[in-house]
Amino acid sequence: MNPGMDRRAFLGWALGGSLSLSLRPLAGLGSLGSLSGGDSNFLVILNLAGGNDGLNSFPPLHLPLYRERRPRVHLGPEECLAPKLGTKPAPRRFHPSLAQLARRFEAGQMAILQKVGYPKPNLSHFVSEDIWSLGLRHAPKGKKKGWIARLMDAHLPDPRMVLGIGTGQKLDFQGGRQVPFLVSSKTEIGVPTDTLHPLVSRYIFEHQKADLQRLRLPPGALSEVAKVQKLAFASVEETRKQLARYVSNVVYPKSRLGQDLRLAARFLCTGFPTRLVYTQLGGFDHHRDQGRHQGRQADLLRDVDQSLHAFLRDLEAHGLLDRALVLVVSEFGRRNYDNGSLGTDHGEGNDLWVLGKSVRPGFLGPDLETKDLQGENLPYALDFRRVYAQALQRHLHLDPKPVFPEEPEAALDLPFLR
Amino acid sequence: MSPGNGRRTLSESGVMRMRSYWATGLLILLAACGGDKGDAGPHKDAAQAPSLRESSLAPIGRPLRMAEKRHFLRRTHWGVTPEDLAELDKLGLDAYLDWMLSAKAPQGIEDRAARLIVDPRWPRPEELSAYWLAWMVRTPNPFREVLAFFWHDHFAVSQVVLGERNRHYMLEHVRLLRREALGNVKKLFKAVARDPAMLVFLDGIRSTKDAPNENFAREFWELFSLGVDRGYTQKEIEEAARAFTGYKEVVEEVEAKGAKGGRRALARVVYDPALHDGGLKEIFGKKAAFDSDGVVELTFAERDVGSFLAAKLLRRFVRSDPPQALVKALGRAFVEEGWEMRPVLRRLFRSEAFYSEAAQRPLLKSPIEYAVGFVRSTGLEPPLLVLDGALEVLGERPTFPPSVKGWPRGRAWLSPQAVLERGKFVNACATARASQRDRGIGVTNLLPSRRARSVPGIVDHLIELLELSPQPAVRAEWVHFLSVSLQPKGVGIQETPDPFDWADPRHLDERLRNLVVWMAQDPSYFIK
Repeated sequence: MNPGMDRRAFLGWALGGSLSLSLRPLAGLGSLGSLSGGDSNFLVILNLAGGNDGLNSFPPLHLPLYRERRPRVHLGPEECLAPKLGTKPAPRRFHPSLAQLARRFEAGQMAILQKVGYPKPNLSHFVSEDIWSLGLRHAPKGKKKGWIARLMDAHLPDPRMVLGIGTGQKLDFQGGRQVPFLVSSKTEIGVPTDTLHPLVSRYIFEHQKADLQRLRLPPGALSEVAKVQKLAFASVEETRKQLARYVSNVVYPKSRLGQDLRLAARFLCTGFPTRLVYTQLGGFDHHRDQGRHQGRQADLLRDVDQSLHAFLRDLEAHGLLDRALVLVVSEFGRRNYDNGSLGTDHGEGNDLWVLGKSVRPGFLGPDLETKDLQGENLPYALDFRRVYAQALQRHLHLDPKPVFPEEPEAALDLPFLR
Repeated sequence: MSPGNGRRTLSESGVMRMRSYWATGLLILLAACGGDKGDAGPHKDAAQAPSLRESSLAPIGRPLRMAEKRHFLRRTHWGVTPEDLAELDKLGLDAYLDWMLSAKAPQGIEDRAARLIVDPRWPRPEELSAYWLAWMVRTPNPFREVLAFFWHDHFAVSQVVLGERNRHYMLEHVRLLRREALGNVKKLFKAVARDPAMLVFLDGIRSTKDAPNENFAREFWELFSLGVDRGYTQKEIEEAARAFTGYKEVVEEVEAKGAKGGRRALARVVYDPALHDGGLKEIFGKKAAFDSDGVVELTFAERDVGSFLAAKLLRRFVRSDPPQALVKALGRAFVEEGWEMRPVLRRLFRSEAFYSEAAQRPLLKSPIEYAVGFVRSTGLEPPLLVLDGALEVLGERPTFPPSVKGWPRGRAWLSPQAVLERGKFVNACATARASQRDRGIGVTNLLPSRRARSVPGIVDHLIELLELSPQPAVRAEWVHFLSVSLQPKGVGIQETPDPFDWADPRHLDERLRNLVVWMAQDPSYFIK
């Protein structure tokens, strides 16, 4: 370690240069402060990238128009699941791939928020995804700052409080003062080691770590690199040791999503101070051969169902389920009618799924009606930014104002939490 | 760095003279324009010159300085080698560009790369990426691969949508990009629009007269030629989708050789006139029976494709925030040069803008630039599957772009785990001792010429080879590292003076290789 570097200066960089004294006490485990996660709630966001088809995920069989508009890409009553909430059958059915989630639904742990979106929908994946990532109604000119970056700057001063898994640094994370903690389940966290000469590797590592802390650079690409390296080198050993403590009987799917969620569980269950997990699964852009109760969408939904099921069971086994809230989002829904290549094109409004023990279960928001299916796309009734803001306020107990400044105070248009 | 030779000093003073002529001329002109402005003229000139320069495609008109040569090579090559630099020195920029933009791809490399694919009719996923990586690592002219990869990022087709029977489309796709990268842009666009891998990727093989699919038509304008919502409507997407129809996939059972033997399914894409919608379409106010080539022609004629491609080229090769005037100028160059890449690139790489101060501000290397560059500079080639695996972990594996929009750029690559993974990759290269010994790969590139054989000489050679700008204290640690041996002592490490011995293969295989791993993780190795 560099003797000239005291804890305060050290913290200074870890927090992106601005030392805040209002931090939790940093006793104990080492350079980045305590790893006791405490008993704070956390939020998990799963993004189904490409635009998941909400209408076939939760078929509105009560509307004959659903079948008429999708002569080749619809599900029939015999193929769907019909979970009950109490004694009441749900207004929409479940895709048969979502069997575990249907059980959670019956257990009162799942809500489906209907017709979520934003005004003036854009049918481009990339524009729509950026709108979700930015979380602002009026995009500022110049450098963009994603909503997670704003959340970190306002409320989550330790970089390890936000965990991005397998996403690269999406716009959501960009533009803030801090380095987000992005990890991948494709590899174990660790430092380069020459297996013939581990001692030499350790020597080099110690020097790199100390050199990075001494380094002072003017703003620019070089200092961006150094900032990320500083965090990496300062946290890697501790992170590795901490993750090694993870013990679980839960078997996750071998899929990328299964492994990503397992990695999230390793962080959450070993006491990292994680407050937000962001992960995604791609491949939902089914312009052709979408399938029905079986096929391409069915395979992806099954992966989502089983991976989330394993994750939630794991959290439960570790006594963490009470603190969890999972939001499953997608940049847009799909066209009301099928397209002739046995697929569906880009749409607008969509469902947003919420899982956790504190949700108000059921299909929430305005129910789908015949007129919703008459147009090209489902309309939107609830702005996704209000869903995020409500999750921040009611679940994380954080003031949403600095993160979503355009959302009105206490905008609980649709309370989905108990 | 070698001390300046007489030739360069001479030519640079020549440049000085030319520049002062130019400045004097400008002064006279300004004085003639308005005597009452007094010394506002030169002052204003000083303020405007850089911004004019950084938007100008005018030739730089003088031999490049050393820093500019390095800048040029860093941006156009993956990993600068001393040979590249010597060649550029010898030929000068113009002759070097002649070679770089037209060099034939050596057949020997193609033969070796193609041997990585056991059966090109049914290639395996990792064989396809390894095939291209072999080219990237071994080619004498990396620019063709750099530019082909630029197009791969542009028309970002992934082989994840392909299966056993049609994965060979990806091999054809990679070969198409590599063949046409330096050719005519319109020709490339037309070829991509009927390329089997693209037709599968964006659903063209399921798009027919009776049921046109808008996926390719939308991305054709949004991502490939115009930019989102720039000059087209949803209605026009539907019209263009009709124009792109006519292709289908047919599958045959063919005789297979080798272990799997027997008969195997093999797919190919064919044009079927019965599936093509030959009717009138109305696009951009023109009504005609457009087909696929017709939409390409129409788009290039009626809309500003040049600026869109120019902005992307500039962000890749010049700077993340290209000024609008430069985008427009390079966009016009595409039109003036008849959409030929070679003259457009020649203008760019000889321009004032390319060598302006703003253009020389560092950009972050993407994983492939970092990894392939490291292998090329140091010669420490790992087994190609190791390189392929590392790029998968780092997120930039060829033939597997994350979406049709291509890969992220710049800071999006930075994360704590990603920087450690880059270190793991260089470690894997530098410590693949046994496999490299078998392939006759040694540490020769890492050692300076005989004249500079001192310990600081080695370090400075490596600093130059990897183009690093380390802190002085860090350089001193590197020199020190070569001169000690390390032993465990309690929980710590003890250093004992132990001079570097040139004749000791262990020193070369241990200290030198480990030092390279250390150096390639210096922050300055992450920028270009």
